[in-house]
Amino acid sequence: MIANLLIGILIFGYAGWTIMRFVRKSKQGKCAVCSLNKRCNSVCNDPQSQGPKTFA
Amino acid sequence: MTLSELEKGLQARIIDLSNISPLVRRRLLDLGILEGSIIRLIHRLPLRGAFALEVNHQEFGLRYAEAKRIEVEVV
Amino acid sequence: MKSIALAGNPNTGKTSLFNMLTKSYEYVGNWTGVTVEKKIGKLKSGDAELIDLPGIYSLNPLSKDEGISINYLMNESPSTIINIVDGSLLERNLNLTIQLLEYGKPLLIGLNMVDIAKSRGIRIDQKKLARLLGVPVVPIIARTGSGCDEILEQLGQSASSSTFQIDYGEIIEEAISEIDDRLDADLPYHHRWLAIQFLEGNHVVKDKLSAWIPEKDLNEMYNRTEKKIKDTGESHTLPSYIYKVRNERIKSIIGEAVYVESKSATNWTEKIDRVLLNRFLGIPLFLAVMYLVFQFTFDWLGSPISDQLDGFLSGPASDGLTWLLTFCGASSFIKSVVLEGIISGVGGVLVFVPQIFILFFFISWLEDSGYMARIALLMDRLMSSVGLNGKAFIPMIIGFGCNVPGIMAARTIEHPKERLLTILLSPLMSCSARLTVYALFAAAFFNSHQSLIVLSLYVLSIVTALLLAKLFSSTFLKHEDQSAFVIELPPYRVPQWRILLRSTWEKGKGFVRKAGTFIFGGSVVIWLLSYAGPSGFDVEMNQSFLAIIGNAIALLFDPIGFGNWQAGASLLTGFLAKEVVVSTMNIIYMTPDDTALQGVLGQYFTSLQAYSFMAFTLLYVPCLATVAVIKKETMSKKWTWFSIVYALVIAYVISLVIYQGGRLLGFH
Ligand SMILES: Nc1nc2c(ncn2[C@@H]2O[C@H](COP(=O)(O)OP(=O)(O)OP(=O)(O)O)[C@@H](O)[C@H]2O)c(=O)[nH]1
Ligand SMILES: [Mg+2]
Repeated sequence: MIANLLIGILIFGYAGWTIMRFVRKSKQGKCAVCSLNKRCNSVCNDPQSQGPKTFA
Repeated sequence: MTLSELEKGLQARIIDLSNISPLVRRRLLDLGILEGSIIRLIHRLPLRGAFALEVNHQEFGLRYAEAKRIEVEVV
Repeated sequence: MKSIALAGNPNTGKTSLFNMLTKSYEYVGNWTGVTVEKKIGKLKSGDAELIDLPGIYSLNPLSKDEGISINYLMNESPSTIINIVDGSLLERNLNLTIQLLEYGKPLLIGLNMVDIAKSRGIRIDQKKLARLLGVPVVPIIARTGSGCDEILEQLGQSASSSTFQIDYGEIIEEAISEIDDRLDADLPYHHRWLAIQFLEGNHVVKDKLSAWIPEKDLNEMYNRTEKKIKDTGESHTLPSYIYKVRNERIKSIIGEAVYVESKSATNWTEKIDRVLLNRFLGIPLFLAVMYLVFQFTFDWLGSPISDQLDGFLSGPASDGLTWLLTFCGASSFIKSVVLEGIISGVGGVLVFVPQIFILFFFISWLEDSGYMARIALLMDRLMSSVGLNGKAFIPMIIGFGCNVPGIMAARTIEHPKERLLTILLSPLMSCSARLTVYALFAAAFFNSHQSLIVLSLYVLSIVTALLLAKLFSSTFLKHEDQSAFVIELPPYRVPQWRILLRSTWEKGKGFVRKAGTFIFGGSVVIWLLSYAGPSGFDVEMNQSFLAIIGNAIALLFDPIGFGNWQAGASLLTGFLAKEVVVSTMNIIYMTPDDTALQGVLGQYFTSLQAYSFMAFTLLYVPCLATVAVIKKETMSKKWTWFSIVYALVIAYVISLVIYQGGRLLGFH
């Protein structure tokens, strides 16, 4: 009985945690498949840099 | 003559780049290509496709439309 | 902590050196514009941060990735800059070096590719070069790591800035001192550098200057100086004049420090190009290469290994687990969640790991060989006819691995509208997660022609993207102004095993990790939804919540061939990540492994319906991570929503055509 409870809590707890983390990370644009951005947080993209301006 | 008329394998000197778009001119300058550079045609893709060219041991690609606007003289 | 930045021309080996000097691994490839964002790593010696930046040709940015580099260099002020210089193309590379010297930060030059230079008979006297430039020069081969210790040693010593200066001639010098006079003494930049960059037409610097000097005055000054230069007849524009003066200096430096022995080494690159860029063979060869890749990934190598893995997971692995659960005295609920939920869901995805790694291996090989830039060249004619740019093909090929880095790679496309178009269409590229769906269905329904069927889906994705590009670019993304297509064709390189394996692993490990985390969690939730219903737990599958949800949308899918609730539920969960489609199906059809699932699927789908389902999965919506990146890269909610909606519409239309058209033709 205790074992059942323990395994159940473990499985569902872990499942809930992974889903929450996945959705949170995906929303930030971190790639879940390729782990491209795993190290950088705010630093990998800076919002100030605008798109290209045409050189006249 | 223009770069687009250059024969495959031949070399030419660029004499005028003023007719190409500023964006392309700037990129060519980035690669160290400007009036006076010696350019060689390596390949020409069919149907007025892109050109593969060489300047100073460096290969690069360019569109037909752009090559048509570059004045060169064969050396 | 001290921060050290890596700056230099594209494709000169910055990231290769970064990987050698830090514990981290970043993306290396043989074309220009591999790195498109800042990457931070800790030096192995532990006392400083190293920042890898996108490649730049000058300090005046054209494309977004260049903007990121230059913004970093100007605003974050690293304590030292390591300038990586391609020794085989010294003349061009020194143009940036001089701008960095003028910038005035402590500089260290890493003279890279000395192996290539040597093979071309170029010998560089680095001591002389160092003396002429006034900064240390360290010869390195970033690919093998030779010279890295010297770099670290130099970094340890106290760095000082160079006093290198070029006399740009009376007219320019006058303009420089005029600007100098109008600037406050305590600016964080050298006035001289600001002035030179401004006169060169650097719009970032101009924006900065306008904080101190009114824009009107700046324009007036610029025009006045340009006119004076024109009158001398030396040059048409200020930027080209400054470039010329600088270039003369570079030539004299090279004249002193570089010796060229004429050496007639075989030019392999040109020989290979003669075949790969052949007028008639070029594009067929590219298609043949792709076909071979799929043959390896599926028929020849991938599927046999996958089958073995499948056998192991459904046999010994799940038997062992069953025994273990019984031994622990687990209840039927626990047994069910483990065996029918987790094993089916996670195992169903894990069996495709071999195929995915093989595909990544070949993509890495393409990336490091130098062929990518040639593909862009070959495709430019076709791409430009639909309003795109040959360079857009590179993001698309990267997208075959994962759409997220593919979309980011679009940063190197200079023209804003072409870039936006590339971002919007990249999600149509069939990423490795979708491969699991094809692998499953192709094996179940088209066993004898698996790679051909899969190849057809890849072709479908590209053709759809091109047609939509034409549609979008001739309607709301119209642009008249000239786009730019100038692409460097780097020398071919034989990829190193070490780099290939590392790069394959780095791409593939995320897939494995995801199976252990999110797919695990998702499987549990999906299982729970299929286990519970309005009437309680352990209900008939058809009475479960999952069936109710699936049924709600099943009607919509009827015209395109799969109006059952199972398909509806799988597609719905697949929005989070496309592999989940496979997990869900495994759980719904309650099969222990993919072989069994393939048998069961035959009862629910016909071949035609299966193909329609694959096409729909390919196109229907970008996954959650991709949507987030689209939002970040376009910085627009509107375009993000657009990318979701148009994908749904086009997926539906194409599946409808496939299914109804196929039926008319007598397929079933
Ligand atoms: N032969 C040779 N090849 C090198 C050397 N250093 C790097 N390479 C190769 O050059 C290519 C480019 O390397 P990267 O490290 O990706 O270059 P990068 O400067 O980061 O390029 P971007 O990110 O595009 O700016 C890769 O194929 C490397 O294997 C070297 O010293 N010798
Ligand atoms: Mg790089």
